[in-house]
Amino acid sequence: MSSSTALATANFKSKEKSLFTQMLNFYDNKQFKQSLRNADQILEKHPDHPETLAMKALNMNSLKRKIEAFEFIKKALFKNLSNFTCWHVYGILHRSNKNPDEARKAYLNALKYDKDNQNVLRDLGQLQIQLRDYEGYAETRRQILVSKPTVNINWMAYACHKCERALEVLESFDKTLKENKEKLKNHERTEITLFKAKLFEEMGDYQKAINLLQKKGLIVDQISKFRKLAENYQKLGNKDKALEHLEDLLELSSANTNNYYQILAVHGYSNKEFKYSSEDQLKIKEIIEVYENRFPRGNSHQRVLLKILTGELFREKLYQYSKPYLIKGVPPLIVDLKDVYQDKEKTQILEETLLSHLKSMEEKNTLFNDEQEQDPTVYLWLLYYTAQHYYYLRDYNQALKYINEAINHTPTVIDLYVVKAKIYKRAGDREYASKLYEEARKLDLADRYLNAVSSRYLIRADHVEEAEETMGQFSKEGQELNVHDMQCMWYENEVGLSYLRQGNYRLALKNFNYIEKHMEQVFEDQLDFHLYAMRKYTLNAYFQMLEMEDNIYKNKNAVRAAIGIIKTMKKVDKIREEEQKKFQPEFDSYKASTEYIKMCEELKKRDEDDEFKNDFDPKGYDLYQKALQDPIKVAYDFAVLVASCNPEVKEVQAKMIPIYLRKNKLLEALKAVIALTERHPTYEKTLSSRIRFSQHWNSLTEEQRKQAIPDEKLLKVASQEFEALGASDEQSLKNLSEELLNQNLDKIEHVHEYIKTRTVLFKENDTAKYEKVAIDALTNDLRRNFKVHNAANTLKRLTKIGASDVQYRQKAQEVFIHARHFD
Amino acid sequence: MPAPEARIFENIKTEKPATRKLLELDIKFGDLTDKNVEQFRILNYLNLPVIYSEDFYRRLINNLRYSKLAYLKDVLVGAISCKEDDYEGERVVYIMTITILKPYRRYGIASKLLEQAVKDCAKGNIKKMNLHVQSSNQSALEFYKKHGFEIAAKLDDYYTDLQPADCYVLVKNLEQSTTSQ
Ligand SMILES: CC(C)(COP(=O)(O)OP(=O)(O)OC[C@H]1O[C@@H](n2cnc3c(N)ncnc32)[C@H](O)[C@@H]1OP(=O)(O)O)[C@@H](O)C(=O)NCCC(=O)NCCS
Repeated sequence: MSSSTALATANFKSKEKSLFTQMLNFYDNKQFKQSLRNADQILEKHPDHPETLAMKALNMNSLKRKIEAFEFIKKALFKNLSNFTCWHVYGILHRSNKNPDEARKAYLNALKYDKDNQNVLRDLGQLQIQLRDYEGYAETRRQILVSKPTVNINWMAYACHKCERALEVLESFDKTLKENKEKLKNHERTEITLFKAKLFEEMGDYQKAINLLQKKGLIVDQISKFRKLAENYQKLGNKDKALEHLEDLLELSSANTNNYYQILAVHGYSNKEFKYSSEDQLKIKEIIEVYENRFPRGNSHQRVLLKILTGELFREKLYQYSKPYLIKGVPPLIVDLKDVYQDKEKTQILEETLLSHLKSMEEKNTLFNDEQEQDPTVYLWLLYYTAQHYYYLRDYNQALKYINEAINHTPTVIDLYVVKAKIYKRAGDREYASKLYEEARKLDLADRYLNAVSSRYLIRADHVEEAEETMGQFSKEGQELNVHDMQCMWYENEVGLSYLRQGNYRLALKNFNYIEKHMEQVFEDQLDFHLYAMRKYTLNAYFQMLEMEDNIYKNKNAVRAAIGIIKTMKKVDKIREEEQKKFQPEFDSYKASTEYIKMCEELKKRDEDDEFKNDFDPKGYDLYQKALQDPIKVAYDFAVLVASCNPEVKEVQAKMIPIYLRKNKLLEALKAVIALTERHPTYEKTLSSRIRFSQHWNSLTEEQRKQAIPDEKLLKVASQEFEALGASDEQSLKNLSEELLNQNLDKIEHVHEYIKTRTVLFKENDTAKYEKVAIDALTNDLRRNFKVHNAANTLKRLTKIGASDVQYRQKAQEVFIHARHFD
Repeated sequence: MPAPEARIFENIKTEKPATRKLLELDIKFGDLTDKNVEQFRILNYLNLPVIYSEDFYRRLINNLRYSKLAYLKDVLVGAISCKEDDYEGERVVYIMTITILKPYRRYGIASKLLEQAVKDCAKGNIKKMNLHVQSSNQSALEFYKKHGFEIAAKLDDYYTDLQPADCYVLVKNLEQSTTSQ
C-alpha cells in the first residue's frame, strides 16, 4: 500500500502521516486494538478521510464487532462512492461474513476506480477460485499476469484452468523463462511436468504424456514418474511397457499393495471384489510369487494373495505369511488380516490355524507342523490373536477366555488390556471397558495414543470430567484444555454425545457446534492456500486440495456432528416449552454469576484473535437460548450442508427426512427417500422413511404441494418420482412393512424399526406381538451379528409403548451377558 | 497400591517349578522410569508375597541406578531393583526385588539381571551385595546360592505379615567372586 499511502495521506500533517503508517503496520501485525486507536486519533482531525474510515471498519471486523463494522463501512462508502479502498474493504467485510457474491461485486466496483490494483485483483481472484468461478478467475489472473509478467506465480496461477488453455499458458511460460534465461528449481520443474502430463492424459493423448514423462531431467520424483508411465502405457494398451514400469516402481516401493493390483490388472485380473476361479487363483499366485522372490523383504505381495486366494491355497499362504510374525511377535498381525472376515470359509481356516498353533505350543513349544522350539511370547501372541479373532466374530465369551489367559500369562503387556477393554466395550459394559483402558494407560504414561483413547472410553462411560483431566495430561495450555483450538473433533463429538445421553442438551449442542465452527474455519483457511500453492508450484497437490475442500462436509466428524445435532434438536423440539421455562432462570442466574462476569472481564482484557480462546459463551448458554427458539432450524442449517455432501451416508439421509418435512422441503425429503431406496434397499430405515414421506405427501393438498415446490415442472417430476416409488396407500404401506419384517425376523434392528413404524406411523398398538417378535429376534440371530445398542433401543421402545418388557429383558440378559443395558 | 480386588487380573495360575530351559533368549535391558513404574508394580504384585507401599515406589523412582527391566522381544518379563545401603559400616548394594514372570523362568533371565547389577556395582565401586529372603523361598535361595551368595544370618520374626516370618540375610562378596553360573 506504500505508494498509495503517500497519495492517501497527501494533505496530512506529519503527525497524522506517521499515525497512518503505524495504523497500517499494527493491522498487518494483527494488533487490531492499537490500529483502531490510531484510526480514531486520525479521524478526530480528518473525520471523513475514506482510507482511515475503511481501516477502522477493517479493525472492528477483525475484533469481531462485525455488525458495527458493516454499518461503518456503509456510511463511509456512501460518502465516497468512487473510493476504491472503501469498495475493497466493503468486499473484504462481505467475504468475512460469508457473502462471497456480494464481495465479488464489491471488488469489481473497486476495480472500476483503480483497474490494476494488485491487492484487489488478488483478493478477487482468490474469491473466484473459492467460488470455483474458473472463467472469472482466469480473467482476473490474466490481468495480473499482463501487468506483472515477471512474477512466476502469476504464470502458475493463470495456468490453473482446464486442459488446453492451461497447456498453452504453460508453453508461453516456458518461453518467457527461456527469454529471461531463468531456470526453475528441480522440484518446481517436476511439479509442472507432472501437471502437464496429467493434462495430456486427461485429453486422451497418452503418447504425448509418455514422451513428456520420459524426457530426461524433468522429473525428480521417480515414483510418480514410473506410476504415470505405467498408467499411460496401460491406457495405450502396451502391456509389456506397462509391466516394465510397474516393476521399476516395485524397486522403489515394494510395500505398496496397489502396485501389485495394478500388475494383476495389466494381466487382465481386475475383479473389483477379488473373486476368481481356482484356475485363475493358481495363475495369479504364479504371477505374484515371482515378486515374492525378488522382493523378499516386504509382505505386500503376500497380503495381495491372502486377499485373493481361497481354500487350501489360502491356508498354505496364511501359514507361510503368519509364521514369521508369530515368531517375531508383531501385534497388528490380525488387524492386517481383517479382510479375511468377509469370507466365512477363510475365517474358519484362520481359526483352525490359530488353534492348531496354540495346541502345538502347549504340547511341545513349537508351532504347528514345525520343529523349532519357541519362546513363551509366541504362545502369548497366539492367545492374543485368538482373542481378537473371537472378538471380530462377536463371540465375547471365547474372546474373554483367551485374553484372560493371555493376561495371566504375561500381565505386563499393554496391548492385552487394550483388547480386553475393546471386548467389554462391544459386549456392552462401557464402565468396565473404561476401567480396563485406564489400566492400559497407566502402564505407559508417556503414550499419547493410550491417553487419548482412554479419554474416549471415559467419555463413553459418561465420565466427562475425568476424561478432561486425562486429556489434559497431554493437551493443555496453561489452565485450559486446548482441544478446541487444536480442532480435536473426535473429542468434541464424543463429549457432545455423552451430554446428549445425559440429557444435557445445552452442552451437547455446544460441543457439536464446535465442529460446525471448525468446518467453517477449514473452508476459510483455504484462502491462504491459493497463493501458497502457486508459490510452491505444487499444482497437483493444489487441485487435490480444491477437491478436498469441495468435500469438507464429507469429513467423518462432520457427519457424526450432524447426526448428533439432529438427535439433540429433535429431543429439544419435543420438550421445547417445558425446557424453555426451565432454562430461563438458569440462563439468568448464569449471566448474573460472578463466574460469568469475571470471565467476560478476563476476555475483554486479552487481545486474542482465536475464536475458541475468545469464546464469550463457553458453556453454550447463548447458543442454547437461540436454539430453543427454533431447534429444527438449528438442526437443519448445519445438517443440510452435510447431507447434501453425503448422499451415500444412509444414517444422515434417514435422519434428515423428518427435518426436511418439518421445514416443508418436500423436494429434498423426496430426494433423500430416493437416495435411500436406490442405494440402501436393505437398510432398516429405508422403508420407514418412505412410509413417513408417503403419509406426509398424501396428507397435503395439491395447493400445499405447490407451495412447497413452486416450480411447476419440478413439482410434476417430483410427483412422477413419488409414484415411481410404488403404491402409497395406507394398506399397501402396511403390507410392505409386514413383508420387510418377515424377511428380517432375526435382525433386532429391523424389529426395532418395525415396532416404531407400526406405533408411530400407523398408530397401532399390538404390544403382545411386538414383544414376541423382539424376543424371537434375539433368539434367532445365530450370527451374533447384532449390536447391543440396537437391542437396548428395542427395550426402550417396548417400555415406551407400554408393552411388558420382562421377558424381553430376561432374554437380552441371557444373550448379552456382559452388557449393562438390561440390568 | 489399589486393593487387590480392584485390580484387573483374574485367576492367577500357578505353575509347576520348571526345570532348566535350553533355549537361548535375546534379552534386552530397559530403565525403570516414572512413566512405566506401573508395569514394575505388576511384576512385584504377582511374584512376591510382600505388597509394597506407595512410599516404596516413590523412593524407588529417586534411586534407579541399580534397577533394570528385562525385555524379551519388547515384552517386559522381569526386573531387578536395588538401592545403596549401609551394611556393617560398609557401602553395599541391597537387592530389594528380583522377579521373573512365571512362563519366563529358568531361561537364565534373572541371572542376566543380576550379572548386570554386579557390573553396575563395579562401576559404582561397590564391593558387597546383600538382601533378605524369606526362609521358605527355595527357588530364590537356590538362585542366590548359585550366584555365590552366602547365608550371613537368620532373622526370626523379620516379616510382620508373612508366614513363615523368618528370613535369611544373604551376602555376596564381589571382589573375590566369580560371577559365572
Ligand atoms: C527367583 C527367580 C527370580 C529366578 O528367576 P529365573 O530367571 O528363573 O532364574 P534363572 O533362570 O536365572 O536361574 C538361575 C539358577 O537359579 C536356580 N534356580 C532358579 N529357580 C529355581 C527353582 N525353581 N528351583 C531350583 N533352582 C532354581 C537354578 O540353579 C538356576 O540355574 P539352572 O536353571 O541352570 O539350574 C524367579 O523364580 C522368581 O521370580 N521368583 C519369584 C520372586 C522371588 O521370589 N524373588 C526373590 C526374592 S526378591
